[in-house]
Amino acid sequence: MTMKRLVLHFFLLSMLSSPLLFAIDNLKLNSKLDYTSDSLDGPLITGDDAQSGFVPGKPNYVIIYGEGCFNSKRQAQRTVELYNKYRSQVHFVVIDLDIQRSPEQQKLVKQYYKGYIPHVLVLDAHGEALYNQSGEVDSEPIENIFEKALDH
Amino acid sequence: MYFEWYRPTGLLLLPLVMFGFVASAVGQTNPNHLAREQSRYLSRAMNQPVDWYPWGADPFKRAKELHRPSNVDTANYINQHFVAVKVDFDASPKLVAQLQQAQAVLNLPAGLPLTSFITPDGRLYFGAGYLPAERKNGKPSFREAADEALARFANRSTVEEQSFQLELEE
Repeated sequence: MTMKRLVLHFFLLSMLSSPLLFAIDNLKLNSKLDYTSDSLDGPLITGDDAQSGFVPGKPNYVIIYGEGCFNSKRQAQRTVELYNKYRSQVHFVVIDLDIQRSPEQQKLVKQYYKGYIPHVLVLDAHGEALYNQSGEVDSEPIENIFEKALDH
Repeated sequence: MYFEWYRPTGLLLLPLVMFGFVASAVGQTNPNHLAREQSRYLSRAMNQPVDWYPWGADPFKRAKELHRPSNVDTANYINQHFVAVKVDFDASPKLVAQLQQAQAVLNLPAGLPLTSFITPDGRLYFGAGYLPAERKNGKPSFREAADEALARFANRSTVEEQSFQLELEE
């Protein structure tokens, strides 16, 4: 087996053993959310590969939320709006604290989560934090951060 | 039966931190330890049948003193197996953040409401979010979660390996 083939096999094996390197896609906001209370209305956001963590190569937007929190619901709504606008340029990571999380998501939780929800992160393509704050945040400052990160 | 297995270990009651999900239980005549609390959320619970404590040194001291008989209903079950601590999210945001962070790091449900199981020496080792009275949509019932908490607590090595030491000054 040539060295080139060996490298190719290693690469393919790595990809197969790391399914969570794919970002969440097809994000959908729960249409039954009550934005005026801390009611429990189920997962705020659903999507394919929902357990994905940080994916290098593009900026990542991460939301860490609790289902019974109206601030989280409002931020979830902004998150899906941002996703619809930036889905081709930014990876989105959705971490629901009410369900068990993948090891990749737990890495982000351990590193950044301080106990307040919602928590929003924007990481650059290498995983450096560009935004790391608890609480709701308007879409505009996040979009500005995206644009700067995408310029580089 | 793990209760039988558990009891001879001589381990003491563990505090249970929860957020109001037993509020619908029937009233009791003797007020619990919340009678002097400033928080309206806590003082409203002073006549609940659960023997609630506010967060502080007292429930942890009590947890080290008590041992457990077995249960009858939910309130009695809590009183007989745990030292119950009620925390007002709005009055103690730093404490709640600490509990949520601990559960998040342990990959336990960590949203609101929050139910935390803590050893008498302040190690959070198990927890959940909202716990319904009966198992629903894959969520365990309160009783199932509490039984799991007791079972885990009986296994000292598991508690030591998978727990989060809280800062108890508040």
